[in-house]
Amino acid sequence: MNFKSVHEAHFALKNKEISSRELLDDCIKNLGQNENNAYISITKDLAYEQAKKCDEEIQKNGPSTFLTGIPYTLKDLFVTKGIRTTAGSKILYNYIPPFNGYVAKRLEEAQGVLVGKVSCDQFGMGSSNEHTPFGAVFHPTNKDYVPGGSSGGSAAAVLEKSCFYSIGTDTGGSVRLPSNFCGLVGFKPSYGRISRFGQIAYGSSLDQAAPLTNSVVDQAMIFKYLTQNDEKDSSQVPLGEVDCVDSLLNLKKIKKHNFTLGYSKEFLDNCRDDVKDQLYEAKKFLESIGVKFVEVEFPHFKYSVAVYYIIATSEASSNLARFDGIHYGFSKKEQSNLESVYVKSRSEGFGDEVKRRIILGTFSLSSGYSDEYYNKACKVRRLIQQDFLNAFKKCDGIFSPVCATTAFQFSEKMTPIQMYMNDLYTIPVNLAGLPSLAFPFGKSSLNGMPTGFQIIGKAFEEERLLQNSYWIELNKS
Amino acid sequence: MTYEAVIGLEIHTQLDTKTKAWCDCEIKVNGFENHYVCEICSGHPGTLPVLNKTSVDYAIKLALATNCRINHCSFFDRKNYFYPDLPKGYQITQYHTPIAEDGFVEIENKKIRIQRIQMEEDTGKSQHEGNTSLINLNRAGTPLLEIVTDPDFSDSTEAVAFLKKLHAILVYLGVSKGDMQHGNLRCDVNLSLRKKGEQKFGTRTEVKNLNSFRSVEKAIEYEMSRQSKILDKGEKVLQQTMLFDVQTLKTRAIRTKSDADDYRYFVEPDLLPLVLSEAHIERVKETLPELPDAKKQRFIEIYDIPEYDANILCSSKELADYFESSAQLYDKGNYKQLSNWIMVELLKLVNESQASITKINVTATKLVELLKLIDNGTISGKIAKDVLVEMFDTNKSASEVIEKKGVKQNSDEDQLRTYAEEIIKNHPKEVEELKNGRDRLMGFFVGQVMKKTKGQANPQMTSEIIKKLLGL
Ligand SMILES: [Zn+2]
Repeated sequence: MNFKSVHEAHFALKNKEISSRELLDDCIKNLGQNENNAYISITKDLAYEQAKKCDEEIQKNGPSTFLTGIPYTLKDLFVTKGIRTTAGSKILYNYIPPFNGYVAKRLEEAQGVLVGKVSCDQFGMGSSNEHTPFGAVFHPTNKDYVPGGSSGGSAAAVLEKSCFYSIGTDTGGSVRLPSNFCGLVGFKPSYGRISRFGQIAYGSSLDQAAPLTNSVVDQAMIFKYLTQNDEKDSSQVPLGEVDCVDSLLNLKKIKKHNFTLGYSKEFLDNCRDDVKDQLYEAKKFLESIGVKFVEVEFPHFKYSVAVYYIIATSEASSNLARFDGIHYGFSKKEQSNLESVYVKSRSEGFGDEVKRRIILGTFSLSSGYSDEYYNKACKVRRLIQQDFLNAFKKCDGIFSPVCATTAFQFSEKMTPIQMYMNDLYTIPVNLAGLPSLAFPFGKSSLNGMPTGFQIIGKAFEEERLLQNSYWIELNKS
Repeated sequence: MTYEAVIGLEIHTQLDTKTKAWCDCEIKVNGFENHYVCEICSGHPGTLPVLNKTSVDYAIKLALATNCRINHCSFFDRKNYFYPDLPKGYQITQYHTPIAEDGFVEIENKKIRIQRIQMEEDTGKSQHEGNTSLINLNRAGTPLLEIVTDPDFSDSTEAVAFLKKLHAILVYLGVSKGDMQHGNLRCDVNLSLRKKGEQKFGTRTEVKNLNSFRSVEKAIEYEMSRQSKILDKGEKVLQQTMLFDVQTLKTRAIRTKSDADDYRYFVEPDLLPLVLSEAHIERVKETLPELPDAKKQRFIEIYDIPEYDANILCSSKELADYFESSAQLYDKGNYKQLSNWIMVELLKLVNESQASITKINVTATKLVELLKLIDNGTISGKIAKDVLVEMFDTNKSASEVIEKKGVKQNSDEDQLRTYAEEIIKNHPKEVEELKNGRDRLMGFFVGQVMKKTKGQANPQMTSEIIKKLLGL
């Protein structure tokens, strides 16, 4: 492919150096036979139709949005009208939604070209994209490795260049982790920034749509179209469209851009050596381009994983109750009684990881236990939020690992708890509802897999976070 | 053994909003099956609820009308359970902090305490036909208010009086259609017995889904007698959920409550806390209509009718409105007479035909015309009753009916005098007795004139003529 980013592709389309159709041809070529198994549904015909319309329009008036004519994919948790939406689960293997969700609608309006619906761990529950009956997704660089999860299909699709960007969802790190494992930019906005309408819910108080791209400026270009107010999501904070592409590009013209990042030495030192080395390399590089560092503390960090797995699974146990084999999706209807329809449909329809989390969440909410688990977790969550507020008194953002390791091999067997620990550094961000951008930096000396870091921003200060990240990107290349 | 009953009510009322609680679907429960449904109220994945603002104002209205304390910040919770007519697998309700608490409604000098008013949503409907069950989601997501009373009732009369009052308030406020037949108002009864004078509550049963005043009355009476028989035998009442059979007038248990009932309530993450400013509540307060008690007082003062009449007239908003518009047309008329005609004659016809007073042929204007014809002596009160029946049945005006029937009152003084003279001449004995003080015989003479005029003689005029002729 000639063009690496949305940004480059957009200007090429604008200058009529290439057509949307040609961009799509490249993507379809790179998609091949879906060798990395990134896709659950490929919408090739629709994509060519959309590309044709875009080319006609570009001929007449030029591209009307940053995203006009640019191929993209959606994690299969985003509801798309008339296009099968599975949530990566057998229980929705045949579900064709009668409506478009917010993200699908906005990107359609922005004249994007939808290549397909990409794979994920069932309902976004997992860190390796193995937990789906549609088969594991492979890391495009090395098929022995996982791409990360749960938005593994999104990461693999962007990395294999079968699309220019993909929209994933990040509940506890599900976009930042695969971005980190695949050397991409993953950007989770503040909770409440992008409408969740039409995004199949896992943990409602944590879920947020999050794009995976090849560059920071691409993120700004996409962000513009996903930040309109949507009255269909009450939890969205209606701050209106954020158009910060120019404010990023203007950074090219200046010599100095100062900001301070907080970090915890403990976080960096607890990572595996190859990751730790790269984190310190990154820190050194950031200092060299004028970033100041201060040490900050997170006294309640150690509770994050426990708090997260109680809150997320509690919400999930309720959110997933609607998949009952009665109204839509996979069903074992031919039972002698109602209870069997529920039990059989759900037992066969959900995968093990989903069932594990439903059971955990159901337990946490049960009377007699909810005070000790769910209610207590909600209280500790507020303390974790407070840790961030305290830290932000000293800095503009937090420099943190995304994961203590790199992408791992399929053969590395992990217990569920070990798997949950992959999200150690991403989870607190969701608990606090903050924006965070996973930035690729370097490669592991151990296995050659990508490494990187994340910068966590203040709530609803995404523009600042994107600017700072773009400053790093500019100076890196 | 004599027991006393401890009874509490939980009332669910469907709100008369244009659209459902969380989506823009029109509410047409009895419309074509599953037609008034969208992806939100049918629980499709990825959908989110958006609170209907009108339903909030309706809840505030009821809270104000029932003297509740309104919580400036309340929360929605999820009540989790599986049932086919509950497409999300949970009901959105208010469990921990409802919109309003601690109110009361007065019935005949007794205060019934309202524990809480909470906002929630209705489920769909299941319909069982042979081996299949069908689900209709038209009703799913209809906004409801649940009103929970303290266990302040001791018999069915009090419970029904309260329900009627609450029903009137809801209709007065315009927040509910109050159509009980169609499930706009459904009542659960919690009832336990204890020995007279005892403090400790007995084990209670819950009778679900009663949808008429009569069912509530009969269910309470049946449960009281059923439980007292059990206690008399020295046995224990089981904590059960019951249904009431309107045919047999008996309750039957559908399940025994146990610790397994766990709805795993938690705060609904898809809705924000419901924050109400004092200014918002004030704005709603300004829109409150006159409520039954205030209207009753006003009727007593302005129209000078007895409290008994005012009570009946104000028991329903439609009836009170009917009285009031008649009274306005009947300017400075005899309001007690008006109230009598409405309460006795008209309501009899309305009840017999099961009509609604807003839809009858005898409009306020027509009734007042009839009363004015009585007042000016055109017809007698007795004949007016027949005229009213005809008006009710045929949509004719009073004068049309009188014209047609030829029942106009005879007030022709000369003619009546001629008749009277003739009768006096023919009944010398009675004349003598009357003159000697047997006043009752006056009726005899008037009656004789009536007979001559086929009942159309103006009775007052006739009586005066006779008195004059006899020099009394
Ligand atoms: Zn609807």
